[in-house]
Amino acid sequence: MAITERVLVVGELVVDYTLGRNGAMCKLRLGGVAHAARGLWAAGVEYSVAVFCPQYLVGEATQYLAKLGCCEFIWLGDVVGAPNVIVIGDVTEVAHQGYEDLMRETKSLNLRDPLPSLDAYLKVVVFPGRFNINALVHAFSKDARFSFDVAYDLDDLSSLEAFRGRLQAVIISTSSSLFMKLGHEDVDGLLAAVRSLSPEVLLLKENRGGSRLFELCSGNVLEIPATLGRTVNSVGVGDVYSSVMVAHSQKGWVEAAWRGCQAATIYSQSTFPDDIKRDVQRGLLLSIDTLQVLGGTSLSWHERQKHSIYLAGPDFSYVEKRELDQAVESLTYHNFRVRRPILENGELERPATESALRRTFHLDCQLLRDCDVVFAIPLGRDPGTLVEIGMAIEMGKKVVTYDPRRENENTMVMVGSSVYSHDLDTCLNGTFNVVAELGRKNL
Amino acid sequence: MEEDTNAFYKANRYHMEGVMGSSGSGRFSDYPGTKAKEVVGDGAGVEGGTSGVDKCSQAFHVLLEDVGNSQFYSQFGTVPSPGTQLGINFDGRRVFAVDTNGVKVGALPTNCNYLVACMEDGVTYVGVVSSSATLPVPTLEADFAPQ
Repeated sequence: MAITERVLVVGELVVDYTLGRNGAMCKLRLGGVAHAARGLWAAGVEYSVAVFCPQYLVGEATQYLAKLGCCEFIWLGDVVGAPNVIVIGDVTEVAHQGYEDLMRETKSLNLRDPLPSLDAYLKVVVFPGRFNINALVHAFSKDARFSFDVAYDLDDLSSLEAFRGRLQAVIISTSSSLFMKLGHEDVDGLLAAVRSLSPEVLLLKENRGGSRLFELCSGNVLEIPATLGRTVNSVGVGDVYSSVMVAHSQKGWVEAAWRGCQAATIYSQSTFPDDIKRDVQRGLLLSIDTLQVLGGTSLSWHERQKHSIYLAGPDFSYVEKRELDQAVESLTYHNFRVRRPILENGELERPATESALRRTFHLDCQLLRDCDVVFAIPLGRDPGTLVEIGMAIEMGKKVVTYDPRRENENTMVMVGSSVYSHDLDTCLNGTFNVVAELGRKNL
Repeated sequence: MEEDTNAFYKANRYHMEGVMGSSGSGRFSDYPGTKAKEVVGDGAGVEGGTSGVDKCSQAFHVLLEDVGNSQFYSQFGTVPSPGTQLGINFDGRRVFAVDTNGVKVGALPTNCNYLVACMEDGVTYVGVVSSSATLPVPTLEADFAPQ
């Protein structure tokens, strides 16, 4: 077969089913590497796929991907014992996305025999799954160059040893368990592990905080900021980033990363492929210089821990406060350093003694002074939170107010807060912006 | 027996009318080239390749930033009055609202940066000052629509 510059995307195809809750629409989509396929199609890139999927899905997936401009559909193997259906609870990733891979414990993959040839492709992007990537090594051209998005289904990087010296990019996300293992505390451990594989670059995707591109030969580190908008669906956004970036690598990694980021941002804001394609094509009209000038939010995973966020809200054991708990989970998931005065300084008995009241007041005030930002969640009749908001404003601290029950639509609260919304997604974006701004001021 | 018949009738009706599994789970819901439509039934599903909505084609209302530091305020010591016609300009660094002479009256917030791609694609915008004030701080709100 003739050698081609088309990108080959390797991985699993699944069915994504988004539950219709929290304002999200129900959506049944082809998932897995289909997200990368949509991104490549939207960016006008020629590509093919080599996939593992259940036999029942082959016909429909082939037809669907042909509509997305897929040049060749290569079925590498069957998935048995599970339908390869993922049920998705939270599409906005304000916290854990709540993926449910149905019947995952009985799932297995059977490689086709003989294995289809993959030797026509020189640029390969692999999304590891439950398949043995080393079993595929000999199916590729010896001149092929590989990029791996190791966000999921990889416990360590040793399984990529067979590709040493043939790697273009290793890509990882802060959402992945492998990142939590290798780079949660410090990026150096992750860099050392990746460097041993000798890729050209490491891309670390840091969710709403943007991403960092490490050029391993030169030692250069490039920050690519995130453009924060309303997240419609975060599923597959990272895959779009990876595939579009690799597809543009011949333009240099800097431009490639910006283009990948652009496509991913647009992919997060719609689930309608024609809308995505229109907007990606528009975005590609902009020069890299313009994109850099317009900027966005850069706040690395590790930088987030350097700033303390005071949680103002009725964080009491006897209060129904699911929205507060969700907000804390969200901030913690994104590695913010949340200080919870009621947990740290103790919950007062009711009725409390005057000395206990005074002691707690002073401890809480001190904690408020020590923190950089206030994240306020006024719920119910909770004047303490409103006082804390006022004190923080007067101290010149940035306040993000999440008012899920819309009980405080008040001039002083709304205008005094840097961000005020009943929507957690908006408040989370606001927190990223406010903390990123603090980081810039401290430079 | 009558109960059994009713149950059978109801179940059959659900299948016939497509109510069971009618929340967008019947097939892939995002084939390119198809228009958005709500899936029939009691779910919240929407299918289609395009939503029919283009952000570049939408009108919007905005509270301008840095009005007190703008060219207009610096030159005239005041802000444009309600009803004044405005346009939008990207000066290579930031997106600004400008008067008919091209004088900057204030900056658009960064969540309006998507307009740069819209304008690069040939969309132009006209606007009008909807409210303005000089005191206690210079403020200006405007409505814009694509031409």
